[in-house]
Amino acid sequence: MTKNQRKSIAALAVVSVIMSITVNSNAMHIMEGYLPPKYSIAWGILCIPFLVAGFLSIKMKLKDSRRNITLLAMAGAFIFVISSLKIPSVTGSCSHMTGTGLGAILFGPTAVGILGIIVLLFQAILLAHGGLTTLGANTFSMAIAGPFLTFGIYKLCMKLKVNKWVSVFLAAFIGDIFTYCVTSFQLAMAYPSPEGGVGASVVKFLSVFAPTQLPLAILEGILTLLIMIALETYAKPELKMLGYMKEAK
Amino acid sequence: MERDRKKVHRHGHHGRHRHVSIDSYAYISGLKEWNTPYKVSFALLAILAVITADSPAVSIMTMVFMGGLSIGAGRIKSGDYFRLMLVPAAFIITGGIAVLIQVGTGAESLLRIPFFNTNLYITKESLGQSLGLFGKAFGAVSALYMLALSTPMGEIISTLGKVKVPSVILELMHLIYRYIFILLETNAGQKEAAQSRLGYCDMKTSFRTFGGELANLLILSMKKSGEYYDALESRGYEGNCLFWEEKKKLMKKQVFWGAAYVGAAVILLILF
Repeated sequence: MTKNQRKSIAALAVVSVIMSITVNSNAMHIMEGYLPPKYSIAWGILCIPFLVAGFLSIKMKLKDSRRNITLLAMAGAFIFVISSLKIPSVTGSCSHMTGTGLGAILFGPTAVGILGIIVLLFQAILLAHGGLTTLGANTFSMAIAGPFLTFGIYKLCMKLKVNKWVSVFLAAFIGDIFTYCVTSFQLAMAYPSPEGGVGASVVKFLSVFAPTQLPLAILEGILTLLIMIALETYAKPELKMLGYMKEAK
Repeated sequence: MERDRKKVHRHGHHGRHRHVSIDSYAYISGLKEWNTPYKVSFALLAILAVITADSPAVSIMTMVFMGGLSIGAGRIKSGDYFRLMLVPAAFIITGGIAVLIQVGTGAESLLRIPFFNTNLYITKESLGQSLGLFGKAFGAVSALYMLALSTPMGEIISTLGKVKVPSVILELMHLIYRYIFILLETNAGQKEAAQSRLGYCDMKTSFRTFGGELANLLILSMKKSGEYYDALESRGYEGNCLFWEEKKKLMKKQVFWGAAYVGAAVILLILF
């Protein structure tokens, strides 16, 4: 073995040990303190139009019937709960779903924006996932970008007459991947590389988080699919009730 | 109370009560008596100080100060506190690695390793930046914990009301917060039932069970939501939830701690 080869192997060993530490993975919440103030504020502002739209849609739903308040609250609590439950696994690692993709398919992306920011605030305070100053960035990636894409792909697949289950899987899977890409981009903007700038930095963040986030996205897709199959089998009336929620924008 | 608290922690790692452990502290903390808007502003001020100052001295001081406040005045057990500090560690370390390691030609690096066609390297700046980031993240998290470990959610929501967050949102938050615990408890029952029927015997079955549990949970929650509305209405709900709030006075001691923090931060910024 040459010296360089030995060095490479040592480096890979270090990287893989570190990766195995981080197997206890959540969806990618940017932690408190991670973003400089400038970026915290900018991402927060970017969320505002979506949140206003979500707020208005919720107001409309409540105008239709006050009864929707408990339905919406249950939807929010449901998103929180699925994101806090441990996914079964053989290795004993501890991963969680994002849940916002499923939320978008069930409740529609505009309502998920508002429910999402509430859930993210609760996650920051009750679970220490994410933070207060990073709430804007996390809301944008997890409660807006991901769910909107998930919902878009789901609708597109329906239009193109793709098999329903394939479209559910694809929507949840791609939505999750997109969230992970947006988060990496957010981190890279805040911490660009001296050599190669933001672009090189995006690649770094993507590859560092890939070992945990890629399997998680596949799991998210499979679980969303399993949940939807079960719902379709046992809960047609409830799904109709939710379908009504989506249409009543 | 003491026994409940232990129970929560025994289950700490097994997922079932994991989510409540921070919340359960909020009700027994020694800092519970603090004036809530003041406490929220104090925590936010400290977080902002850490991320705007971008100085390791301020980060470390915040970590020590807030840790001291939570453990000393808040009477959180130190072992539990450090275990909680490890929750965000995975993200902080992974993200820190991406900032630490650079890719490219790598002139003037402390350490350089060839990697396929390029080099992975660490420079003095990247080492400094990633260590600074570690400090900032843990410092800010310690300030967040000072708040989270001592303030029940209801009080945080009512503080949001004071900054004019629309009442519909506040109401949703109050209800969501309550429903979370109902759903978690329901799920704990589901899990036990499934486990006793070998629903988690192997990987494939586990996934099927897990998916089924969640689907069922959604059905249950949708069904219950109607009943809960009836329950609200029967107690005179007319589109406005009113909650009783304890009056918590701003005491001199609380102001002293805030002033001490600001003083320490200013001195450190002048010195370093």
